[in-house]
Amino acid sequence: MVSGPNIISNLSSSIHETRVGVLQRIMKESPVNLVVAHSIEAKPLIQLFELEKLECDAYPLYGNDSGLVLIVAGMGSERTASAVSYLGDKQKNSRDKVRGWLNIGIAGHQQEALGRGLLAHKISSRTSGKSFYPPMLLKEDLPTSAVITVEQPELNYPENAAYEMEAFGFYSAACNHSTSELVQVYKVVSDNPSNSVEGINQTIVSQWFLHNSNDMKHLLERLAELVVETNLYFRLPQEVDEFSSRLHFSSTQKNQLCRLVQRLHALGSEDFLLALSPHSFHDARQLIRALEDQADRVSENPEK
Amino acid sequence: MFSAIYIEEEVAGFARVEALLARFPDIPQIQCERYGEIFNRKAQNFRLQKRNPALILAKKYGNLVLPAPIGYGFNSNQSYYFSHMLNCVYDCRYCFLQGMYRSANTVLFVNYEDFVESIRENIAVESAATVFYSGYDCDSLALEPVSAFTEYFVPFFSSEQNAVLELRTKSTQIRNLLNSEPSPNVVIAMSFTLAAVADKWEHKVPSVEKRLLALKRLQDHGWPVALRFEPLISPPGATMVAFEDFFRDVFSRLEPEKLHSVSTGMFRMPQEFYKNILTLYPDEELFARKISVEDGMVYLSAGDEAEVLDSVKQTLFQFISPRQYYHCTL
Repeated sequence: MVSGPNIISNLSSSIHETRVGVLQRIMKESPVNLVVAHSIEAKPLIQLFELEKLECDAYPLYGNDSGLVLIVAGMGSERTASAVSYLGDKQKNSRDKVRGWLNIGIAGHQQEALGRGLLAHKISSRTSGKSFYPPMLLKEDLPTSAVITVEQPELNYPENAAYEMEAFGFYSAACNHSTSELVQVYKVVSDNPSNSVEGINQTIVSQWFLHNSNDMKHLLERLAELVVETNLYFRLPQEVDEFSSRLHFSSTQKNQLCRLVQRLHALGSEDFLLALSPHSFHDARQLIRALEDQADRVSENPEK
Repeated sequence: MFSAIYIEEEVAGFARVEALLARFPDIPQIQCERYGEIFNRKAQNFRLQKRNPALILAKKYGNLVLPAPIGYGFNSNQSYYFSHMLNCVYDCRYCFLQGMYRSANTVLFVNYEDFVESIRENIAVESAATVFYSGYDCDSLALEPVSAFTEYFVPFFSSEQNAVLELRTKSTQIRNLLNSEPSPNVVIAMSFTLAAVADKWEHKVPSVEKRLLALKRLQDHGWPVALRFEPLISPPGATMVAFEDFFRDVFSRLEPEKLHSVSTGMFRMPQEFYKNILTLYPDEELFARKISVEDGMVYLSAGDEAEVLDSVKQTLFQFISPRQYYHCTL
């Protein structure tokens, strides 16, 4: 069993490690949350991604050492939204700013064949009439479909769309914890006008998921890459922690420190930061002034 | 080319839309009610979206043509601007659009007829020749093969006695213009920065060399062409010599006396946009530079700006007459 705190990748980066080095190392991470409604969908994914049960009283929760987490939310849009909020809140203090969110599940479809995997390009709530449009940054060669979230199983399939019961609640809640580009929905067709919901069982769902496993893995990898890259851009340089632990900063001063250290990195003044000893400064204000002077000096005279 | 094409329900049946969609059968074509459902939504990341933007086909309602702010263009009379597109397919790091919009997707307003109607109304109320600027919220020509913008608008302006159109661009999509009769009422204004600046910060944009070749072909064909040197940004360590060499090269390729106009402009943008961009690109050297803020506008503080501008002007006047020149102060 993996312990709770490990579900969030805890990346320690050396102050001397290069940005490329950091990128290469963390590219192996999967800071992504998989959200499914039912154990019938969870089981093949647990096998596929080699997940282990995590300690959690509120929901069945699984994870692995790469940072991938799977939560079994229960059926329905509201339950799914609650599970997403629960997990998102639990991960709030992660060093990484954002995680990817991927809802995988089964759905009925008016036109598509059983077992067909589809990436959602539009997610509508039949109840509210509102829609989300997940940005198609990851579509690659995956077929896409509109997804309509309903409260009761849809057996008449009135539109050329996938019908299911979770995606809208999932998307709505996940966008509170991440940016919409990193929130995606993937559905596998489980029923259609020629094949009723009666035929759905664990064996057949596992077969369908296995059939789509390459697409799912690829989707997850691409999503993880984007998340890692995003977090890399926005990760605060290590010096912020270093300086904060040695001197007292007010909240405003902490913001100034963050931006100044970012500026100095962007201006190529890593050596200056490395050589700087917080012990040489009486207080935060003095350090901030030194950082500001250096940033302005380099900015106006970049060759020096 | 696009990650997806979103189509407002209201324009789905437009012939212009159907023709466009027929060209992209393999791209997901997704119906939406209004473009704002996608474009104005919260929880969007411009930087991520820019990797693979979508196209949104929409109808523009109201404010189709707006008065151009004072100091924007080459005409001191009342002039106007209009945007048949929002956002640009290029990815210039210094561009204010990154901070203005939440989404990096491109919106194409396909109701060209309504734009022309509105332009006509504005021409009617002006006593003098009126200038209409295109390319403020987008690049006028970059999406030409898809939008067929010049096919529709250039003949209209060519036939108007009292109106001038400026097409502001960095694009080399000039085929339709080369296949058309030049009009004195349509000015193609190409934007340039130093090649080192373009290489560093103008992503997906045709090279300075290709832009110059395109402009030369347009000038040879008889179109009025103009040069827009903005934003005037120096690459790290550059001196005025870099500008002198650049201007010498540019003006040796064109016929300077035939240029419609030449303008300069500094790096500047509203502070709010600048703050938004900082959150997107905290690691960007350009935004790590020292800035100054004046009346809510952010400027790069590179020594004495007036002195730099004066040197640039004096260098430009070695090649063009002062009456061809203006400085964009907006």
